[in-house]
Amino acid sequence: MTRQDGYEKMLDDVLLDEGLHAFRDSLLNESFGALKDNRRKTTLRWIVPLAAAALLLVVFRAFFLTCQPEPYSPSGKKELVAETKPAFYMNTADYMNRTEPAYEMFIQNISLEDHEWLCRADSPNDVLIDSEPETAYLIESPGFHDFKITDSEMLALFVGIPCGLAETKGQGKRLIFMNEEDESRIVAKLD
Amino acid sequence: MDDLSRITTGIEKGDEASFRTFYDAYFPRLYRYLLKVSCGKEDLARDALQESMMRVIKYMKRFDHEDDFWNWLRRIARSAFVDQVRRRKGADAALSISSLEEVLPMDKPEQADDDLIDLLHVGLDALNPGDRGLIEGKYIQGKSYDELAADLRISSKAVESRLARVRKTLKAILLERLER
Repeated sequence: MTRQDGYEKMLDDVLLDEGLHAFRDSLLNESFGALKDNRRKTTLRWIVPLAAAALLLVVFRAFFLTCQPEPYSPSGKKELVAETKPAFYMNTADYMNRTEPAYEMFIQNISLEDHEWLCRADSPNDVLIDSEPETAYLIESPGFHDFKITDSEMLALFVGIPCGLAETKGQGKRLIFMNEEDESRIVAKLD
Repeated sequence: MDDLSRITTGIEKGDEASFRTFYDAYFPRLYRYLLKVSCGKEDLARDALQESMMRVIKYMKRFDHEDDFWNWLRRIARSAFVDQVRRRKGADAALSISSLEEVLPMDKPEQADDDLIDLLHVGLDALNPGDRGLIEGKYIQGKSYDELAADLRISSKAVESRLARVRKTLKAILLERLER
């Protein structure tokens, strides 16, 4: 210990008497309390915005889902499609995975005009589309409710999905999707 | 103090062990500083020290250099002290804010300690030779109670109580000089 250190120690012992020791201990306890509060505030500083963000996300998602346009369904069958599966386009892929693929040929001797398509729907919402018996396409599966729709009604089923109708000689009219992903997601080809 | 950056970061995160290390190292130093600044007013120095510790916890940030850290602590203590004086504005505050600039030179970090040690020497000079020899034997020559007891041919207990009396006398001299 240097001479200077000795004087500093003497100074501390002179100034820090018993009364100050008690003050020192109580201030330390008070400081620990403040540290704890600080930790709590720091934690809240992270949790509150996260919780708010999560809440916003939930609200936004709920709002987004409820504001989806109802899928178009052919005249006279509107309630059938809308009631059973409002989120028809969004959930199609999931739905198809979960659905028992009871795909079957159903086009049998039904005559269609050139501008007509045959659809099949059942309580859950499903639509089968075809214009020619040889090129039957299934959009989801399980019900049996057949009805006809026109070209424009057909296209209206796929709002927001780039697709169109193409006609080739001798092979009838086909629904063509611009993106292969859309086609594989929405349409299942019948055997 | 070991690894200042680790300790300051720890306090910033609310770590009690880091705060205790800081507290043990800086409580006496801050108190000495505030005692000097408050011209020996112990209660004012304590209140300012209490407020300083709360501000340290609230505003702590990482420091890598001791000098920077001490300068920051002095600023915290200084502002806490000024606020205390403002709060007490009245009979108790014989110290006016305008005089703080004279009392609180911020240019020399060790000024307060140097001044106090100068006053300590004044106090030592004011002691009778026996008491001065005893306290210097303890702190400057580093003698134990038993060695001092043997030198003075009294018991260790008697040395302890006599040293306590000398310290008390020295404190009174110091505080009285600080008030001037």
